[in-house]
Amino acid sequence: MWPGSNQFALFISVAAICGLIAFSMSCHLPGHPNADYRGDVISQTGGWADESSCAECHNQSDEFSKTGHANTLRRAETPASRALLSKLSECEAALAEGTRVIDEGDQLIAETSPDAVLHRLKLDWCFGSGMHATTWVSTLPDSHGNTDTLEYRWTWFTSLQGFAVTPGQPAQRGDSSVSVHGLLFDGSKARRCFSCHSTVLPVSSGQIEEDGIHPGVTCQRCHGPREEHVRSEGEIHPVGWTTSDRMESVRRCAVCHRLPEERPAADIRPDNPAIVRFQPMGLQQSACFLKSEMRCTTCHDPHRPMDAQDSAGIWQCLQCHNPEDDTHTLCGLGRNDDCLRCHMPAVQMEFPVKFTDHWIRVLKQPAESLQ
Amino acid sequence: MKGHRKVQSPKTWLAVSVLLVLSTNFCWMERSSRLVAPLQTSILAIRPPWQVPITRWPWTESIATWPFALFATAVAGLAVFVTQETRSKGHELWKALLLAGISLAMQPDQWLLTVSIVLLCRSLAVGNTDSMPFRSASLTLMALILAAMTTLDFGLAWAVALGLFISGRPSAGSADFVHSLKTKGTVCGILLVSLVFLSTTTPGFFPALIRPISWIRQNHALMPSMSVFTGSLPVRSGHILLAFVIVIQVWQVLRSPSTAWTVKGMCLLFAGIGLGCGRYTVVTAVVVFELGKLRFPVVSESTSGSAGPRKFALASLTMTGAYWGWLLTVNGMSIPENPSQPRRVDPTLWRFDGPVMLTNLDHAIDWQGAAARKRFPVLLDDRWDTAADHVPEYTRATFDLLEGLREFHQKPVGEGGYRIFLDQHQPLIIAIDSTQLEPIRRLSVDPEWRVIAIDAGKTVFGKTTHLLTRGQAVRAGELFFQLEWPRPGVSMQLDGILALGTAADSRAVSRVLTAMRLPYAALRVLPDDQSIETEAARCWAYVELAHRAIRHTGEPSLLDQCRAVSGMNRLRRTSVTTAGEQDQVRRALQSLTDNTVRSTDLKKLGAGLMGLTPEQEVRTALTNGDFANAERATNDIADVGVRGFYKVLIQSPDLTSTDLLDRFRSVLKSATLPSNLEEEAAFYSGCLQLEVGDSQGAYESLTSSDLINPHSRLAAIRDLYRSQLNAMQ
Repeated sequence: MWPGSNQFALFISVAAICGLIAFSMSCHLPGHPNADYRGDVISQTGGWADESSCAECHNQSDEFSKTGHANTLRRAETPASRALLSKLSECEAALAEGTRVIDEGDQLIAETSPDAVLHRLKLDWCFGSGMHATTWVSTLPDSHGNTDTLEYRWTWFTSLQGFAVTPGQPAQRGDSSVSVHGLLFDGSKARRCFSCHSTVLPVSSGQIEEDGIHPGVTCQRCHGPREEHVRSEGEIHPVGWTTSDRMESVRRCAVCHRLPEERPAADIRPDNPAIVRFQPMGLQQSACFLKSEMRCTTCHDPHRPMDAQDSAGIWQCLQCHNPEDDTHTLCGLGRNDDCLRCHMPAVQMEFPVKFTDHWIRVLKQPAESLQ
Repeated sequence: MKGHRKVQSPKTWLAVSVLLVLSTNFCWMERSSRLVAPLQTSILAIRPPWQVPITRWPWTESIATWPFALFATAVAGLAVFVTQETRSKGHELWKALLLAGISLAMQPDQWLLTVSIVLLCRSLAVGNTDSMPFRSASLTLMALILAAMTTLDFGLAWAVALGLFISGRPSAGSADFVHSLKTKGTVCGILLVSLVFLSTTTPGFFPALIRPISWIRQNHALMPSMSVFTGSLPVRSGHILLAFVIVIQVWQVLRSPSTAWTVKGMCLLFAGIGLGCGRYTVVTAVVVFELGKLRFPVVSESTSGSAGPRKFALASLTMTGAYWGWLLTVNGMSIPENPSQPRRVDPTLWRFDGPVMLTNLDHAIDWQGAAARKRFPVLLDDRWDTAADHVPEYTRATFDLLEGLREFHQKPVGEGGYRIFLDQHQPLIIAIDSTQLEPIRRLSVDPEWRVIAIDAGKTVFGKTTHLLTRGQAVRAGELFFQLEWPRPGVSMQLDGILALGTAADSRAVSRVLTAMRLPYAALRVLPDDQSIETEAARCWAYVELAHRAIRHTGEPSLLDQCRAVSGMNRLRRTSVTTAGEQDQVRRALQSLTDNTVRSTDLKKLGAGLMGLTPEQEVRTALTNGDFANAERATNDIADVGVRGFYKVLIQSPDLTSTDLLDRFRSVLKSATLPSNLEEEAAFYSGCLQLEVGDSQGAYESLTSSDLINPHSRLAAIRDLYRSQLNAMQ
């Protein structure tokens, strides 16, 4: 046995060896310096709160469920999605291609039959709140287990109250069993699509774990994982949106609505309609943005539906362009209402959706000058 | 070294060690090993790096690079010297493990450092300093200078020397000059002043000095050599053996009441470094072994002459022979048939220059040869001591690149998106580790980047928007096209694009080609052997082919599906694959039986098998890799021709492509084969002809399949194949 000092030596030896092994392990496991650089925050595996508890303390939750953000992604089998898809049978162009959607109860199957060969595709997800448009997507594993997506060829446009070919897809459908249904996106683009339409997106080695997706842009998508905040009943308040400066705030929106740095510098010009869709790009070029403290949330309250908020009003503009203040620069036409019609017109894209031009400026030919 | 005596079997141990070193690289006749780190600089380095002093003299370039065979002998000599110079009773096993570990894991640029440290340990041993103080001091000085002049990690050697120097105590009554208190004080003072002087006057000296500690800030994912348990199989095995030796030695030293606490502390410190950083595992194992050696009981003369150690040595030699046998058979290693086949792509053959971004910083050496260094500067190299401020930025961008996170996004800490980093630093080349298959797969469909070269170590992407890289991208594209859709009579120039090297290298390149969605090209570069590793690479190509068929036709190509599912099931059962590989296999199997784009709902078919015809049952069973049920149901098929068709498919996993082709030709001769199966058999024949390189025959078979039914489900994939084959006519 180990009497006296030998016992002490044994204890020290065992402790030292265990310490060495633990140290060695810590050098190789996640948690090592730089480990937090990995991945997108929405693919974080832990730290998420059950958002049903948000309403207990935050009254914004009341209206939030009606916002476009909250409903920007749903399962294809949801009633709203089924209701829209049932109208595909009224789309003549789709019928001409022999396309239809079969509701099989537990799943929705898109069928098309060129040359008498029937091609079937299970529709999995429904992208878009329906305020402007809704596009369906199917998820497909590739040979390495990554999740690819197939963007369905037919999109519901609210302005049309009907279906048309999804923007960006060719006029003629493809030949293969996949391309006959729409456009295939590889794993990284698929992940990008989901990441802007969900709050939690578990991804393991390129494979999206669909059962773990928290669909829609909800509380924690902007405010970050809030498990500790909920558990501590609000005592712990992780650094987040409320403490961010305005540039950080705009960049949070720009994660999905895009930053100017994401386009070549030559593209960022006032006569380029392609950037209208990416609001922060234009906004950051605007004199109003550069010369004030405004941010996206100056006009938009993301907690309320668009029709319930005063984002299109003029009170925001009057903060700096008030006719009652002699020091302010005023409208050349002497107007103090309807500012957006001239300075932020809605621009028609190549598909039946309009986007508001956020490059706030004096347009020589107001309204739709970029078309 | 009273009581110790020379060993009886050094030649046997030398043979064991040489064989083990040679087993780490089957191109030993061609490959050379660089013992001294080359001149290094990276674009993001924030300060001029400390360079190994002797590299400043160009004439040293030739003596710093040794033929691999000579390096193997040198490593073996060192390993035997360390482990066998003295023998201690009962510790033959530990010494054998240390010898094997050193032989398997020794990296060329660590050899001189290890030599220096062994010299230091021997020269500063108390007995030596006592009896031969002048010789001891000279040897110490020589070892310290050797380390400083030839290695980047001289700090480790200096730390060993300092530790031994401080911890050493002169024997009672002796006048040990080296270990006397007065000498210690003087030497420590001089050393401290010198270090301060050198640190303040010589750029990069201090960061280089503390490299053995500053590695802890480096992320192992960017530099796998930092990790103890990654790397090639021999290196990994060597590290595991050495880690075992380190732990045992530390245990011995700590338990010893007579060992000074300073020595125990040194042991713990070096063990921590060795177990934490794979780059230092060999050298610290040697240090810990040398420190612990005095603890071994000395063998008595009466037992030392026993035959036990010799038998043990002979047994080790036999085991090494068996290991070689395993490598050459099961593991599929082979000595290259064509010795001129390079193992690495030579970038100096390219007609452009430009900055390089590496996802594995261990590959920096490939870009730092004398000819390549100026033409292809790397953004960041493996010198973690030079660019600490840029490491987080680079790490973030590299992780995003590997995960496919191109655009701006929020991270748990900070923001990400590799595109912004690339825009800022404008690399023309991205070199991804060839084992990082998913990133390669993702980037290979990025319109901004094209694969311009592949070898077993790295897959190189060039920026297509740059005029200079476009030429190389076009040449590489033509070669890949030729490999996928071979044109008769066209010679392939691999120089500067593909390096197939050994059998293992070819398999690695094959996996990359599969990841790039070029399965026929992947099959074409595989070595002609039946090893598990080659079979695995072949199966992955079949998985890719099976997916291609499903996505084009909506139904599985039973030929590819059978071979893929059967191969994946075999891989799942093998113990050779790691847990990560097992997960990949599981996902591949899942993806093959996924039902998303199936025109026939297999789940429903499966649920109602009772109502199926025998032929439908066979097809369902083959799709799921259920060969027993497929065989049973095939026997229920009355028609001989139909039965023959499915029998060939059932046997397909065990047949070569040539044999399968012959079988399908026989099937096609059957008079009773219905037209739908005739069409399918002709399609499979075309696919097999593509596999074996008969593009003309493939075109004809596909055309004959098309003539039978031009509007069938197979039309889409058949048209694709025919258009690709037609494009080169």
